[in-house]
Amino acid sequence: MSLTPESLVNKSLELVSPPSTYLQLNKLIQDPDSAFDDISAVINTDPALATRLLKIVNSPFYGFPSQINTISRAITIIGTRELTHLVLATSVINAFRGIPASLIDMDDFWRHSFATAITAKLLAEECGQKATERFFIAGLLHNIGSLVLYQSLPELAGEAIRTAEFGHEVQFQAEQRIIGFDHTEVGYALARQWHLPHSLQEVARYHHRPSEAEDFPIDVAIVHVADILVSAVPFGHSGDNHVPPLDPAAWDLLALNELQMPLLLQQVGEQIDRLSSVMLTQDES
Amino acid sequence: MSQSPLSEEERKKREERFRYVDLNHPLMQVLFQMQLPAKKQPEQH
Repeated sequence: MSLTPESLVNKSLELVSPPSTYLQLNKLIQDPDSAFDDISAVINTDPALATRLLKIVNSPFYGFPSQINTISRAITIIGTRELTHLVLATSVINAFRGIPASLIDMDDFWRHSFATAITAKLLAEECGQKATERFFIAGLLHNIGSLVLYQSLPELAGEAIRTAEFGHEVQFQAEQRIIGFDHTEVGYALARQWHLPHSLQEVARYHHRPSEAEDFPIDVAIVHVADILVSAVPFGHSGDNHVPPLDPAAWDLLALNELQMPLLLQQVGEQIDRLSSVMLTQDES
Repeated sequence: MSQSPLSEEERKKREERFRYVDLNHPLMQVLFQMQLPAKKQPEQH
């Protein structure tokens, strides 16, 4: 049987649990009869998760003036959607711990993802988008397919990383040649398998070729541009030290001023260490 | 992050990092020339 993004994801899921708490929360958010108490009850069934979320919302990244001691209070302050996104982010980071450092430095990988998340949210605000917290999670998870490749096909993924470093291709093109498909297709397959929102599926699938996105073109274009901005500095890296090619149509779609981008990246630089340090701290057990 | 001339060493590093992009695009020109702040040591965790 030939390897496909779907078969690879199925193999990966033998090792990685789906984000079940996130899926329950997402269902509750869409239920008009659900209440804050239902949401906090679901989170509180997992004390380790609840503790971690409180640590994140009390971190300098959020910088709230007073201590937030309960999940109910956290929901009131940062909102159900943002808290649910933190649940998803935390679940994914935990699910893919254990990728060998000899393949990729995961702190660098997540630093790139966190920076893309912060940048995507700032770009969305700059574009006048509403509910910008969804751009944060889209940026954070855009390379979710790379995690599956690193975990399930470490040798081939390593070859693609080395080719990108020393050869004449960017990483996703090297993956296509060596594996037969790239991390965007794997990310799409995983996002579908996990029943993540359609916007996250589109971003995972099209962030390197945004003009092909049929749905959520703004979300895809914003994460495409955020990925490029972050790679240009760079803030960490996801396996490839090169800046990915820009799709000029995606940039034009956002109608942004390129001269504002250095200032925006300065804001990212001010937030990234605070976010990385709280998100990557391992709980003591 | 502001605009100012790059050192020769920094220019070479950027030419490698920007190898696959079209440097004629206005956004890429701004990013290529961007002055970066001094790198901070990552926090321990």
